[in-house]
Amino acid sequence: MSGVRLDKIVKSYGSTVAVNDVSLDIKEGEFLTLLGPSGCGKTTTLRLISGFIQPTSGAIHFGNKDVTGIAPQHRQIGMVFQDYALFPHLTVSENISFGLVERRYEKAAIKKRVDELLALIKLKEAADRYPSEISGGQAQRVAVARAVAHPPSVLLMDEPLGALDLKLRETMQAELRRIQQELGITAVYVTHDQSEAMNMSDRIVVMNDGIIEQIGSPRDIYSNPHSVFVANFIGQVNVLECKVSSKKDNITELDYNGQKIRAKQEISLRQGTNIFLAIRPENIKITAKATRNPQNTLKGVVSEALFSGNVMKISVELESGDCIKVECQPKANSFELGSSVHVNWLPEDCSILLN
Amino acid sequence: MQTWTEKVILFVWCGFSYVFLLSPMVVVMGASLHGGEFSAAIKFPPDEPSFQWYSKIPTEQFEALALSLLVAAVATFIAALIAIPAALGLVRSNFKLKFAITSVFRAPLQIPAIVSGIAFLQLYYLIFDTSGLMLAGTIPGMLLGHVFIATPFLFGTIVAVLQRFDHRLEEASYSLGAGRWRTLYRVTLPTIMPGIYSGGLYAFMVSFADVPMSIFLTAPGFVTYPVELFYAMENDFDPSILASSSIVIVFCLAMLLVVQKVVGLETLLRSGGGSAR
Repeated sequence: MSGVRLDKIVKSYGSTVAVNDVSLDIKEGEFLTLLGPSGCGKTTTLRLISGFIQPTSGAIHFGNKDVTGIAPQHRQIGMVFQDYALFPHLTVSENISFGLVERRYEKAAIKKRVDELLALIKLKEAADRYPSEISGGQAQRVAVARAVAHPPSVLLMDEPLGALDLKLRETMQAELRRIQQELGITAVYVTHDQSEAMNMSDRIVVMNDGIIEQIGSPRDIYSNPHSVFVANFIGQVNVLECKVSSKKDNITELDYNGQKIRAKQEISLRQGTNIFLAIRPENIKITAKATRNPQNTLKGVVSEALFSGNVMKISVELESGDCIKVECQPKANSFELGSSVHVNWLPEDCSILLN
Repeated sequence: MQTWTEKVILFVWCGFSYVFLLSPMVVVMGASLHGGEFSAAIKFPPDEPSFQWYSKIPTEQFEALALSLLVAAVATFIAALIAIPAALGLVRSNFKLKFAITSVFRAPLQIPAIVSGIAFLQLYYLIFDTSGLMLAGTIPGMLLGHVFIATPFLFGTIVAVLQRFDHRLEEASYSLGAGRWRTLYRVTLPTIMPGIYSGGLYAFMVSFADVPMSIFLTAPGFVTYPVELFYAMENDFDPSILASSSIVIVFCLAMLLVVQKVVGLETLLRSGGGSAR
């Protein structure tokens, strides 16, 4: 087991650059997720780590070992594929022992390890079934057990839950995380589903157009997105275009359509620069009358109100013509369409997007 | 739900198909039990059923049957050795001549077997003229022709299976530490095995039943079974031909049952060459 380090990796196909200058340091035992829309280079990055494709330039290290140019069968990886890729002609236990046979484990050792793994994935009763005779969730667990049977340097997973239905996917997220932590294995996970990434990861790498937009913990990425792309990709967000008007200590004053807005964030931008301000809908308070301490307050009219069970989703059309989305408790708030309201948020609940 | 009329139509249609497919065999087997006086016309249903004609099958037919089985088995094996690597290479590569070479492998299907037979015979004469080696009427000469007509059947089915083959199975194998040869042996071949079996069965049958080409490559005392039957029908027909045909029919049915038992229909369905689902 070891960490994984990517050094200025570039992968291009002719004139298209799939992965552009990606550097990453994955710690030992970490669960890291590559997140992004399709075509962002996340799967290519995973395949570069696995060795199925080789980088155009740059280097990949597993621990202290340079594995650039080494074929996948000599890399000690564990791989879980989107549609499992279980061997259809082998039983569940034969699938799990496949790698152990290749690594010349003794017969008794193979049996012991397979039994251990069947217990870990809670599938003892299905040991002699064929892949066509088990459910999608079970196949997924077998695929994981097969990948980790011979402890890999790194466990690579390519949208492994994509084929499962929503309920099962949530159970499997917890299950995968449990298995990864019980084995203490370094894991790289690829997904385009932001909630999946949030639920499972120690750190998330948001990718777009072959480059890394932002790396950070789920909390960090959610509350401090660096770019419009990240803010929009992770959860719901309101983006307002503002101008930097003044800077004081760690408070930046902005001008939005003639209104003063304060953000608790230090930036190095000059006065007068246009920036985007991101505010999450759940951080915005909505009131019928102006509050006593009216900082960061904007006036508007309710243009849409949707009740969706645990939250009320309200759209407010501001005086500037922009629309702002607000999420609030359905009990305490009921606003008629067309009624005029005030929205406000705390300076620490908004973040300035630097690009 | 099927309506009453639909059921009747289905029943009549299927019944007609079965009668059409099976009645020739039933007639042959029935007539082979003819027990009365010898007659040049076959009698069905047989009068005084007996197995007398079974004891009168000429030994040449059994020798021919043995030769045919040997040639068909070896030709199928050699055809597999050619077709498997060819299919693997052609399905996965992307070079310019790919389509040309694929057509070459399928070409024997488009050439009438009688033309192939003449071509092989001419070729063997040519080889005899230049080197003094006579291939016509020998096992290698016969095999060469049979491999020629059998290969496309194996090639075609294996290509079809490979086109549905999930490449991630091989990637999974590599990721588990298996090299190229180990992956071929443990993953690729077992997964395409149903294609090899069914293609092999086709190839065997085509070789076993061939008359138009084999007829050119036989020699006195060196005749394949269908050619022997052909000669017998032409020259001196008697119900022993029906008797020996019946034996082959039973033999073929038994073979089919054994293959189904050993290979198993389930295996064919289970490892259809795709992914787990």
